[in-house]
Amino acid sequence: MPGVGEMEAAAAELNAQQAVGAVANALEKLVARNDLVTAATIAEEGGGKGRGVAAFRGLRRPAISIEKYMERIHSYSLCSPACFVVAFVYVDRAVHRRPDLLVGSLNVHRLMLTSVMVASKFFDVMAQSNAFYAKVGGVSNAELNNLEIELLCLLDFNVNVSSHEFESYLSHLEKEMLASKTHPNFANHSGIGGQQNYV
Amino acid sequence: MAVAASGQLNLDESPSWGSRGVDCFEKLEQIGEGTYGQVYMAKEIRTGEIVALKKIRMDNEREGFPITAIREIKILKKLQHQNVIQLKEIVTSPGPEKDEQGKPDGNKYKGSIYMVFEYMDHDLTGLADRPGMRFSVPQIKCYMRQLLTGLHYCHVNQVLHRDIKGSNLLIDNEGNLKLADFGLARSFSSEHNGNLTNRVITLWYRPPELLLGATKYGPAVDMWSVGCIFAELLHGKPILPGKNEPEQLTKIFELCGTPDEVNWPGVSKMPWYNNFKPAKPMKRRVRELFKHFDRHALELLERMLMLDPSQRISAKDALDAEYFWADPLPCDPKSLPKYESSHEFQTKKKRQQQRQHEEMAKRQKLQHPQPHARLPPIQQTGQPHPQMWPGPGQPIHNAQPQMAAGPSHHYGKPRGPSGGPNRYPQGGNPGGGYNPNHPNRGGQGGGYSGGPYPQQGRGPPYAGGNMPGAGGPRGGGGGGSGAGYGAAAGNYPQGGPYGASGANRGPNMGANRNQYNWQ
Repeated sequence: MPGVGEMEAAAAELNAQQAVGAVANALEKLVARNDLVTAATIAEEGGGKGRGVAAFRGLRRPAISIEKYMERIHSYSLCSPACFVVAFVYVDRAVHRRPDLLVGSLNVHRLMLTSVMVASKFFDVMAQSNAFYAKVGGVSNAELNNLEIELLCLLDFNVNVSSHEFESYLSHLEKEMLASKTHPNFANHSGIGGQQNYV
Repeated sequence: MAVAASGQLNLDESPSWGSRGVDCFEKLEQIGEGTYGQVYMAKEIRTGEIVALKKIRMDNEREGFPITAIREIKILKKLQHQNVIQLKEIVTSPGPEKDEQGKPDGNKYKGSIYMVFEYMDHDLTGLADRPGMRFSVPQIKCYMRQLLTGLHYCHVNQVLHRDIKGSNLLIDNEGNLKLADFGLARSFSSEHNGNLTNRVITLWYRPPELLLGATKYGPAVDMWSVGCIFAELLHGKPILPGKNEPEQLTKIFELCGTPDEVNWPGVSKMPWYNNFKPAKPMKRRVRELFKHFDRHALELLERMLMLDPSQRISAKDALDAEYFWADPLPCDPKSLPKYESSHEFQTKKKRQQQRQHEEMAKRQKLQHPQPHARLPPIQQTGQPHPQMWPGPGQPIHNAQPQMAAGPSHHYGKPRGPSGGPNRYPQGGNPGGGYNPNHPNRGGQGGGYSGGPYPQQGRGPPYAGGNMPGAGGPRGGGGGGSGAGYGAAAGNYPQGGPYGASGANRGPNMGANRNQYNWQ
């Protein structure tokens, strides 16, 4: 069994800008693709605060891009860059457990805010409070607490990330990044869902 | 988008929860009760299996899901060993439906989350404190070996327990001992040497390096605690019952001698060494004070109670010690006597009756056995003690006729010198959070925890104040909360500066406004 602490070593080198950029890149592709699919269903179900995956869905698309949003989270919370990768792992796990969770422009911000916060609690030596993350993320403390529980349940409290997993995701994200630099408009199909081999 | 293999996911299930609901279990009774958490004995309805449910309190809005619970879950999910408590699953009980959006508090989570553990009948402290209880030497060896085996497993997996003490060592009626309450546990790695808080481990079991302010430390901290427990089992009572940090160090020095650059190279550079530098050197007296222990036990104890952590014996080497391989050998757990398991709600009455009886006896100046004085172990070896070793045909409980059906968890019995001061005095609590209304709640003690015991106070892991002299009442309260399973509030420093209700006893939270959490 790999030591719980190994991931720390793997993540020590990570640079924040890189991590945020790579995660944002993967998420943006995913969102672009899913938004096409979900536009219809949301109109049917209506927005609002449901439970489970619906809890993350906002009524309107936030004006801030997911990349800028994550940069903001990082600059205030000072969470370690690895938290963004771990957060991506969580979102991916949740997506695999619940195919009805479509990561789109209405929920990606809340999903990442919650995931980064949980990742930081899991991973960082020092973690900010939920109240702090709520302020940074622009949601109420109560809502964020609720989203935290929803996410933990979506993950079935499976918050461990092994160093192997971490590195696999990281290299995947970096490859994606390179691919989009070469083909900037190409939303390819190996986004968040195409990673069975890493899980 | 990911599509799960068909059949893997059942979308008809509760749309909201990934985990099962708590209604899969029938709560039988509360076995631990505290201001901050409860532990229930429960039966899984489908299988009939008995489990312990530990409720995770989420009263602190600012902190959300307690960080300590996340870490405990993370660690327990990794550890699978016969001497480590098994976290079976996590279940939820949904709160009331949320309001429509627009009401800010409408989506406040009101449900509960429970950790489901295998059920254990006793904890070591509770068992040792039973009136008339007397462990045999093979029994002590058996418990010690299991403790070391479990701890070795944790250390190999780079987990420090950081709260080893009797009430966190759960024992079932098969004689199995399991480490429990990983609420303070922490993963460490040899390469990644971050700073760790020294505000961990219940005071009586806290090693000198933490008391001297070390923030880089390793598995040796747990081994000191093991040494304290070992000596306690042999001696019949806690060996280092300090009331505050300075006194704890003094007691350690009186027993183990004062540290200097010879016996502990580097000690003079410890952060708080100068604050606690002893006025006069004292010499080590372990052998003198415990000369009644057998030779191998003393030898092992000496190596566990080394002041210098780098010279302290590891769990692995301890398992190889002569002690475990010399006669009498550790017994098979299954051969240990079974003790009646009883829990708070059943026994509260009995305790009350007993107390009344004791008072009456006192008034009449009748001699009455001191309920708290533990008997030292039976030193003669090889001979089955009639009290502890019922013959095959003998009903177990008749074998110990004098024993009240007392709780095995150390219910509210005060520990330490009777009438003595609370283990965790209130003075010097630098932070808020500690609830002064419960300085000594032994009386409410519940099953799994702690009543009187180390209520630990676990020094809250998130200590803000660094004043070495500030002997916080780490431990003030939690009276009777499920200790073993770690329900005591101390585990979840949620209260913080905002816990006006004293929800958080982490003494130092108040001082630490920036919300950073040290581990």
